[in-house]
Amino acid sequence: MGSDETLAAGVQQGNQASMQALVERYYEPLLRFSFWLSGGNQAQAEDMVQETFLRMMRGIGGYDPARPFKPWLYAIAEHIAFNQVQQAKARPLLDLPDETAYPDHFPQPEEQAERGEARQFVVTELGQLPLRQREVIELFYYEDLPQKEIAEILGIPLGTVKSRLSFGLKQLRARMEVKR
Amino acid sequence: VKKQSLEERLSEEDFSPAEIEGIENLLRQAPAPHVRPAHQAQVLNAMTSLLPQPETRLERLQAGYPVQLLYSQIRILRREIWQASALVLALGLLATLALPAANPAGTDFFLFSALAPLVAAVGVALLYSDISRSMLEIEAATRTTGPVLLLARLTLVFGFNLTFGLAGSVVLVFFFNGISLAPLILSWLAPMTFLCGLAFFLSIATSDSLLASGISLLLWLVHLLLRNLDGAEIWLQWVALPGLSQPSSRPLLMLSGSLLVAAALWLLDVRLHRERNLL
Repeated sequence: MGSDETLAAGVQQGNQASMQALVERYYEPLLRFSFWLSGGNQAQAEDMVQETFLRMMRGIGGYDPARPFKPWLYAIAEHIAFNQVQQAKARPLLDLPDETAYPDHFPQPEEQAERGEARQFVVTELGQLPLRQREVIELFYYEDLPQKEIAEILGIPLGTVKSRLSFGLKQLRARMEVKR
Repeated sequence: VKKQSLEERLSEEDFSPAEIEGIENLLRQAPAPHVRPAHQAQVLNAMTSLLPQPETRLERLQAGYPVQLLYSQIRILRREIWQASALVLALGLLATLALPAANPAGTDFFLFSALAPLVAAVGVALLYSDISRSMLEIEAATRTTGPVLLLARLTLVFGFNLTFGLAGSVVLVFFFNGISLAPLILSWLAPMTFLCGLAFFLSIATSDSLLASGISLLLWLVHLLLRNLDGAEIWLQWVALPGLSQPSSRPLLMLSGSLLVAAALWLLDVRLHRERNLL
């Protein structure tokens, strides 16, 4: 498998294997990113991922393979996520996945009960953060992206990334202290 | 920018070790979405319909810079150049066919062969005057340079006359027995290349298309009139420039025509460079 940029250039040439490789590489990270921003809504996150990949295909002709692919793709995902979440008025994170929709995936009731409370707490705490801070934390922590790339993806200065990350983490700390 | 870990970042923000651990635990416990292979396959399926079709070689060629440049210039060139060239060559061909007596059997030099270089040279001489005043503006507004632009136009006009000349030669070979196609083509192609090169060079060197086409035209007419003068004064034989239609000098004519074009483009580049510096 080649680099992201090589695969994207392959997609530009109509190569199906390159397209498949990119989906395999980015489906899960994008789903996680969308899931996080949509407030833990699995269905909405899946829609967002599908829309991200479809927009990627529509815009692939304009992508310059000399530039990094990942920020380009995440910029699309972020744009879609932000619009959808804004439209849904940033649904609270308590909107957890509809577990009956995927019965084979979710843990057994006993296990679920044990984990449920802790997860509910995390989801609530994270959901209280403003969307702009949430996405920076997500990209920084879960996607393991350097702050410079986050700035590229979000189209904001590096300093703004740093301040959003800082405010977000401090807010989390404050909320955890209140809980204690 | 150095890539930081969350821990490093939090330490920078004066978080205590306990707070760092708390935040990391919190983030680690965040629920993850479920990856459904069925949905992934559905996404892939939807994407397939949007996959660009692989370009054919012809499409790649058409989308290339040289073809795009030539195509853009076809619409800009003076329509009269195409019309006049086509008309004169068509009439020349008809006259050649209508007056077989003027074309002695065995010769490869027809009226048509005399007209083709003339028409091409006049057309080429007009190219520079059309854009000479706005060359810098054109350069500033497009991604191409003046010499490249002019070369594209030259290619179009020369190519047009070449195509017409080839078609005319095929017709002549079809109507006149004992004439070979290759010598016939070379009989007009070599002087055409030279005269076009000369007209092109003179039009840029003098910035006067009338003078450039006039000199080329005069040179060719004098040659046509005096080429068959046997026993004439030696100076008259020199003036006739016999090399213009001698088979042995054809490679030299083609080479010098190409060199004249190169020299003209170099001259133009130098001139534009000077003008740019003056601005």
